[in-house]
Amino acid sequence: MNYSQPLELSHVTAWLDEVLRGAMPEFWALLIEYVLIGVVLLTLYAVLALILIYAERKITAFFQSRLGPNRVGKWGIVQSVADMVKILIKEIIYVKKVDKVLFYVAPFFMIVASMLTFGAIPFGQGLQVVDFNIGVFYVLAVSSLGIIGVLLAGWSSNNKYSMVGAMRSGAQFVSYELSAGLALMTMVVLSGTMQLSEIVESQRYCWNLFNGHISAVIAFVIYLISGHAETNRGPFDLPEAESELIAGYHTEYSGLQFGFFYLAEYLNMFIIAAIATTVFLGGWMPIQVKGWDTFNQIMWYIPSYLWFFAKAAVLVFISLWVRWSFPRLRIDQLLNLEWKYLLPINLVNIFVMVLLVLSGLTLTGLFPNVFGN
Amino acid sequence: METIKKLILEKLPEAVIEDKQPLCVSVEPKQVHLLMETLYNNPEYNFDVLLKVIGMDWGEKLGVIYFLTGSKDLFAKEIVVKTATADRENPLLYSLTDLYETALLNEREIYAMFGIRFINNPDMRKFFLNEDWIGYPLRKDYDGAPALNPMKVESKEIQDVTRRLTEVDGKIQEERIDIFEVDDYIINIGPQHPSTHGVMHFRTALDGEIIKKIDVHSGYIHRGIEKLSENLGYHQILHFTDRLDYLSANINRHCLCMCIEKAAEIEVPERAQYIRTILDELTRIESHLLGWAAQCNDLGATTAFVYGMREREMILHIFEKVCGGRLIMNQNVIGGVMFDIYPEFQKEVKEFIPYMREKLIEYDRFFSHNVIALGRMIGIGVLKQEDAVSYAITGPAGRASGWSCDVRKHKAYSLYDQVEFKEVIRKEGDSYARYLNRLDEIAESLHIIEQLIDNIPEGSFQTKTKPIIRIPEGEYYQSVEAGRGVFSVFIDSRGDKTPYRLKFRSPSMSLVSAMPLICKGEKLADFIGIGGSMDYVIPDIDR
Amino acid sequence: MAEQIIFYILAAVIATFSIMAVSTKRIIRSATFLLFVLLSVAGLYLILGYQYLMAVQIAVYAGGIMVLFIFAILLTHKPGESAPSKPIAKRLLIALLSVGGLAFCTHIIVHNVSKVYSYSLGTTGSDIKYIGLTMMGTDKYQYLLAFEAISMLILACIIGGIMVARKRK
Repeated sequence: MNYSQPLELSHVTAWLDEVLRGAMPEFWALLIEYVLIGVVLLTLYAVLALILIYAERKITAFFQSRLGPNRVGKWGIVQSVADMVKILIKEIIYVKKVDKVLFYVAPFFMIVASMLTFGAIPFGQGLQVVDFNIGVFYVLAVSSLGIIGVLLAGWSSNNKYSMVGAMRSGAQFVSYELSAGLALMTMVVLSGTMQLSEIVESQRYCWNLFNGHISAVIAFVIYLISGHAETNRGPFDLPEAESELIAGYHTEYSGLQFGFFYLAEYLNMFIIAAIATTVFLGGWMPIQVKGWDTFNQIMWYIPSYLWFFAKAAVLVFISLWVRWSFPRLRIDQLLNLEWKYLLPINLVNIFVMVLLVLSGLTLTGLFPNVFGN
Repeated sequence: METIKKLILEKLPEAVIEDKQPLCVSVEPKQVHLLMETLYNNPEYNFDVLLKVIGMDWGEKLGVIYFLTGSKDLFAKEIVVKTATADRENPLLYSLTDLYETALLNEREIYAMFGIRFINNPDMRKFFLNEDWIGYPLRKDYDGAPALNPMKVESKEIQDVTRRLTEVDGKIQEERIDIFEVDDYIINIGPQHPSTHGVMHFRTALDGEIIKKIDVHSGYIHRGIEKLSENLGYHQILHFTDRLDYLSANINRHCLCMCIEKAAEIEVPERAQYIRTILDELTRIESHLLGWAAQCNDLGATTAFVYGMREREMILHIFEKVCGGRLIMNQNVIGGVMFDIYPEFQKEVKEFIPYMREKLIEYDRFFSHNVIALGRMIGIGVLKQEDAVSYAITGPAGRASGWSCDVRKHKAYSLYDQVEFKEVIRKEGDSYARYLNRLDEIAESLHIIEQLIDNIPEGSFQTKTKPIIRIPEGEYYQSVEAGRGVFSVFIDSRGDKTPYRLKFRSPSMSLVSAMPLICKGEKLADFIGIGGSMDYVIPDIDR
Repeated sequence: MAEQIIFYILAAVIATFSIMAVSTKRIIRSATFLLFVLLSVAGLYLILGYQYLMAVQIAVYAGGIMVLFIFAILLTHKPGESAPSKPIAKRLLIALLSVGGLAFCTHIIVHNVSKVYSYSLGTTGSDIKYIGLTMMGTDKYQYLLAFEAISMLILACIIGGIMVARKRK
């Protein structure tokens, strides 16, 4: 069934491609497109970060019965732009006795890792930069680069607080990467593919979260917990625990370099939400019911990228909710949680998922007429 | 007391006993330790609490006044022990650290301020002052010329070396001791650190994340309040008390006012008593709220911190209407209070009481039973009762260790003998017990206010006093229950318009002195959490 | 053409950082440069179309082994420490060995390059499904036995590691 999708951005991109290919040889057309994609992606990255920072400050204020930013612009909307400008013109301070090269390189690791992951996210129908057939695995692989930035930052700062923060961060990241990976693998078992576009497509009538019922819900919760932990937020912000370690691994950073860490932290939060959306909540796919053509058409009038951002926003809100409700875990409690609870549950869960898929006990397996593609 | 007198004379026939209130015993330095041991092991009533250690410069002699009482029934019996040495060049006394742990920091303070060194003290460095400070500030012949101790602009490495004096066959030996081992990983927590609640400095040796040893440095905001007071009239020194423990500002000031009123025999009108007591309790609530909020913040719960501040704001608002001050109130004066209450005071306080009770339930639901919070507090930083007594840790922290040490119960002042309230005692002694104690004490304070607020009598709120007050010659003690424990004032008057010596007992100093003990073996993150549960205020330590 | 350009860029990066990795005196910098080399190799895999291999390269080398390296260095070294310079005789020996190694590699590449290309797996080679089935199959050119044997070895390593770590207490 083909539905009318008047507001889709893929119309624009297709038209642009046509025009460029008509006007010049393929090589140059492709080059221009690559550059354009890069620019758009970087802009989106920065703009999203600004929106997230503003949203977090406002929502936090709401949780804490405060007002939040309310001076710059109406309801303080321009506040994070002003903050960005401030951070851009701030002096970058190099402390004596730091290892200059690594101190300089470390923030780039953070930002590059999160940007590489960012590029693989399907933002909407046809709005995906690269669609690897190993999509999920790629995301896991490149996101693991960020930790090197944290470790290098902590070490090269030549500061004991930074060092303790980096050590905590390393232990935490390496542990929770396992859980996040296994939770995603559980869903790969369900979808039967690692390609993100196919995973989205397979959830047309039934989100993976419901499709795999018990197992999928467990995997979802585990993914959210470990995703939180990987991004050093919420009750898992030990690497920067401000009441103990001042600012942890980025204590000595200032100006734009600190901005990189800050930006990467917020974007990682969004990336975790985006991947969870794609893998568990149907990605950019609008809500559809088999046979209800009019309903489906109405749903398709809402463009797919809006669906995607709306779903991700809900997850980001949950992440903020958790962050501002819970006190911080201690390092041994954190590792206990991962190694003694999440990991064993995960291993059992992946096995249960295999059984569910093999015996056809998933929702699409049980009711192919209602939920099957 | 007669039996105690007999006991002392039996052991030490040459002791001079003055029959005063409290009983005062003067002995030679060599005999102090024996006397203390006798009192400590007195079967009838153990004098196991060394509440105050006061360094004195009596002119030709330098010495120490010890104020002792017992933990079983605090203040039921009190003894003051004095000792002095005539040697001003190299004064030496004997340490009491083996009997009372609290003596350690106090003796170090006395070394810094009076130059008296204590034999057998395991850590004979100056507290508050640097080793290279010239002169002893609280001696009467101290030269305060700025040229002697100029402001230094270059930074200085901290030397982790201490000395210990021991006496072998009548000869004094000095040995140097390294505080840390050679390859310890030492991290400086403070002086500029978000969770030390002020400019406090802990040098902490870590083994991974586990704390091996803590060395406490203090004095970064020492203002010499005791020295300043020796040159000011009694009306003038009142405002210093607000700058000690600024969260119990009103209670501290109440204490000094009571001490002066008692000494100068000034009658305080009943209305003033009521206002003082109500404001004291509001101060306590406000202080505990901030303590609670800061503890939550130390554990990483920023939202709880803001909630605590929100309720505290309402109390500060009431304070502001009463006297214009919020933190530093300047409300108590000698002979009563500065301002009468405003017309809606009673109404607003009565509105606050049910509101606060509701919020206490909210705190309980929000934080007290949170899984992570419980994991971060239960069984962490356990302070045993005997340690609490030995370190003289009073207040909510002491009561969390099972020690009944509320001055309001044991030596009621103001109106506390007329109101009914419960002394909150828990046995566990961990962070969680201290946490719950603070919340429960808020509820008790609300109960106290409830009983008083409707019965404020009409009449004058202030007795007119002379512009210059002279206190008759003598020594005066007064203790109150401040937000963090027993706060007390000691005045030695020579009949002048200024005190000869004024000493404040700081409850926070006891709290900090126990940190090395209870944090050993805990994680770095818990060190911060324990600090929050002890809730010390730094200006109270650095007087 | 585009692939050619990217290849030359990657090759240059690999060559530069390889030399920097062995010539720097600070061990943690050396580890970082090595990481750049490994990442560029992942890029080479990507232009060959071996996406799976690229992801494995990044996940295993960059995410796993390099983190381990840096962790180990973090725990044992202080910032600012440099390795001492080697005597001239040793340096000469090292130079000789390097030249020898370079000659050997050149020889292999120049004379056997056609053979290397003949082993190409074709279009199915980069498909993850194909790799998965090969890994789990028992037919000819399939690797279940090897896969299981390695997993046993790694399990033994893990248990050994735990034993060593436990002994300290």
